Amino acid sequence: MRTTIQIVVIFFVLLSFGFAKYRYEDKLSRDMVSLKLIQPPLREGTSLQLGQTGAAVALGGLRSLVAAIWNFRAFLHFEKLDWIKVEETYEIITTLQPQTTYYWDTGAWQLHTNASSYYKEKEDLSPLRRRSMQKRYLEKGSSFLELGLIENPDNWKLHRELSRVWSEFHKLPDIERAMKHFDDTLKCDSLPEFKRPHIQRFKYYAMTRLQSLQQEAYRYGYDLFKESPDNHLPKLSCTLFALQNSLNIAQNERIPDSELFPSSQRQLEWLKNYIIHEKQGYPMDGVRLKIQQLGTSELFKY
Amino acid sequence: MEDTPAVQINHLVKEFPSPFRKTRIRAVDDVSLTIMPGEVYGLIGPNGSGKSTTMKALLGLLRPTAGSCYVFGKNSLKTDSRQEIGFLPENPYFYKHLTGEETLRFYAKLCGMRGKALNNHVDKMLEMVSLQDARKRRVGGYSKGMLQRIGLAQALIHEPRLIILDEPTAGVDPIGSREIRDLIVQLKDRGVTVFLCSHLLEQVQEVCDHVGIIFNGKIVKAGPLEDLIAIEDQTEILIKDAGPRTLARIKAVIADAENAEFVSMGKPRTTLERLFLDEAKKSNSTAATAAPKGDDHA
Amino acid sequence: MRRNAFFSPARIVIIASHTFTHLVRMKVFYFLAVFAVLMLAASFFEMPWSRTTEDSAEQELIVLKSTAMGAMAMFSILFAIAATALLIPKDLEDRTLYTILSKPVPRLDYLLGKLAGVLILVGVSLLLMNGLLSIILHFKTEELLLVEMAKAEAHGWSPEHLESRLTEISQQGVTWALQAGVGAIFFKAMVMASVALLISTFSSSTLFTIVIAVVIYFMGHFTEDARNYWLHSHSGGATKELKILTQSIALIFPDFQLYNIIDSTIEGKKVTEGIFSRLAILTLFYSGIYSVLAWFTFRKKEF
Repeated sequence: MRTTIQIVVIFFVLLSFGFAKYRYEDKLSRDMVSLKLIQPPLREGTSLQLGQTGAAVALGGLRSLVAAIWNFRAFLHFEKLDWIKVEETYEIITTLQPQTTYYWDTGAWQLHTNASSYYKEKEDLSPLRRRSMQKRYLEKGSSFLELGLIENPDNWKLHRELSRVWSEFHKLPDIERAMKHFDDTLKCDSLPEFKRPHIQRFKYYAMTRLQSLQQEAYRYGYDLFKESPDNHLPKLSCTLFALQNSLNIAQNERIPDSELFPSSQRQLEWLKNYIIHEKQGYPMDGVRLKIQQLGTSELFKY
Repeated sequence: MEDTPAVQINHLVKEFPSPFRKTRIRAVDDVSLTIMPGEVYGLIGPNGSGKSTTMKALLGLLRPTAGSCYVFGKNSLKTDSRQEIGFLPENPYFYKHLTGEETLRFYAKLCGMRGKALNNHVDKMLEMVSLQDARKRRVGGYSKGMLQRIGLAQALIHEPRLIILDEPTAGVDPIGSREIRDLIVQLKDRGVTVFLCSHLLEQVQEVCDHVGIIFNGKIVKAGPLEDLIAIEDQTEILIKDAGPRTLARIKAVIADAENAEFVSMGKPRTTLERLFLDEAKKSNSTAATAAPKGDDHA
Repeated sequence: MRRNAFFSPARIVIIASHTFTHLVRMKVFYFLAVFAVLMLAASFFEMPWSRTTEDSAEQELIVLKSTAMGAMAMFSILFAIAATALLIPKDLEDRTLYTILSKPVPRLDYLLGKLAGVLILVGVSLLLMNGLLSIILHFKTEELLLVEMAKAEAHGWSPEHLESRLTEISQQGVTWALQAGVGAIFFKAMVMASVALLISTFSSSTLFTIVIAVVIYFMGHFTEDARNYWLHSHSGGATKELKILTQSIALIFPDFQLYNIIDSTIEGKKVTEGIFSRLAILTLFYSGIYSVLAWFTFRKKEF
């Protein structure tokens, strides 16, 4: 009897204390969520996938620890080339730690690079099937990054990754799609200034590979070149050189070779290296010719 | 001040809920007793008669269902009352991880002692209970006798005016028993009030001057020991070196007396305990090196 | 201390330091300490298959921190619950409780002393583990910074680029924010110890206390969801029973999700003083209430 009364009193006290504290807790909780100090409550269904132990720790404490362990497991799945498990695992990891860029990035990479190229080269599949699987995983990787962007809106790294995915030569490039992502990257408030030229250059390079964008590309590249000597890089110069030829830019409007290249020796070197990338779709107008010309004159030099 | 009884228990009743039936068990049923300062009071009774319950009520470990207990005028339910009490529980147990010395220091600090006074007391107590040699040993390794002694030391460490002993000599060998009894006498000489519970009647008889007999939670007899055990109408005479003719003459005197009646005559007997102790003393003095005290193997 | 106050800090300190020594001399602590050290050592483990993205340096530090802090958190919570759960039953079983309570020791002092002893031990252990973590983390961070600087040399990065990278990596190193995370671990342990104390005043079985405490620990992680549902959910389909249930959960159980700032500090995020002190105040309130309730039960207990 005494114990029952005691328990009742205790419950009563706890309830009253509860009424006193819940608003305090609620406010504190919302402040913390807005400062991104705690994660919003886990999405439905995650605990089913985590397995008992994982759920225990995740709910009981450190999501970051469980995420780190699952990341390890993901790599084990990767070694076994079990792409379905890899995908599942990263879904769980990013649910636990939606604000860790690294996990979105790595998970997407597993899909759009590793899985995709695995299927691209899988010999026991028909070429049609190979292609479709390759595309499928590429899209999966891309969607994964998009999901990451929903959780982390202003994240320049994820935008950049998307632009890489769709511009990379070895994948199934879609330059127009990549352009959108390049622009999104450049629009990010979080993009550090010293990164900007880098992104701009890569946007430019991608543009040069698409015939329809070459005009725009040239103007963009021209501005970049004029903007800063830091942009006087071999690839930039070579592409400008080729674009000037392919677009038939008037002589007086062109950037002369002497400005584009530090010396004719350099020009020869750079162009020789540049022409290797012909297959990637870069403009090559007048490059071969120039190489021949410069090569001969070099011969004559000695 | 001297009029305040050391212990005053007024109509103490303690009931416990019975696990099986709705009725409650009365462990202590209207017990009243008074112990004046300086007395040695023995509460005797069979196991389960309510001795321990009474003690615990006095110590504030239990709340009386009815009635009250006071120690030197302070209600037993107040923490203050325990400043004057030293308690040695039955089968005492102490923190195994502490040494004898650390144990005493811990309890002394709990009673409010500090610094030099504390250190002096600890040394004194260890000497009194003959545990100096074991002071640095962990209590976990003490024998039963040693535990009893450290228990006594802890009970006395803060120089209380009242000592409560629950079965102080239970399970202790005769030598240890004797030492404890000697200690109680020492305490009495110092004016400390002693309240002890025991069912070893001989030992109670030796030290107590007041006794209460408790049966089924009720005090059935209480009062000064001498009065209680005196057989009113008999007298004892102890004679040494009396020859048969002297004895015959004494018998004749008794026969002549008006109301006196001869009851019995014979050789008084020693107790087994006294025999044992004498043998122990003899063997101790004949041994080349005396076994160090505090090293008994109980 | 002649006049025995109802509540005496000095006496609480005596019991606390005694409890501390008691726990330290128990073999259990050594075992757990070994466990903690092993976990920390395991955190030397290198990041496998790093993709050499720019983030891998930070990720290595994050993995190191999350393993170590995970070990620290697990140890602290387990210890806080188990140690508190066994203290009173042990005293009762061993009858050492009688010798203490028969001295002029108020029961509140006894309870608070035991609790304080456990918390001091948890605190000291956390400090030690944190110290070890800080040292390892510091060296690892320095190492990674050097690697990054070498990269900068090799690839000709601009000073701003290098600066930015160094800052990003340093943010994952030993910072005050991380200490806030350790503080949050301690707070969690403090709440759980108080809960265990309360339960142990009812139950004389250590195992029972531990089980109930662990259940409460789990429930405490749903409090936030329950509260959100009750306060902010607008779905009309909620049954009355569900509303009452979520309300009760939100009110009775502590909200442990608030302590998950530990996760963010592992990721290098900053915790403002305001947030930290609000969390501290909340913790004190929880501990206070549970301790008072424990005393409420314990003071009438008969032995």
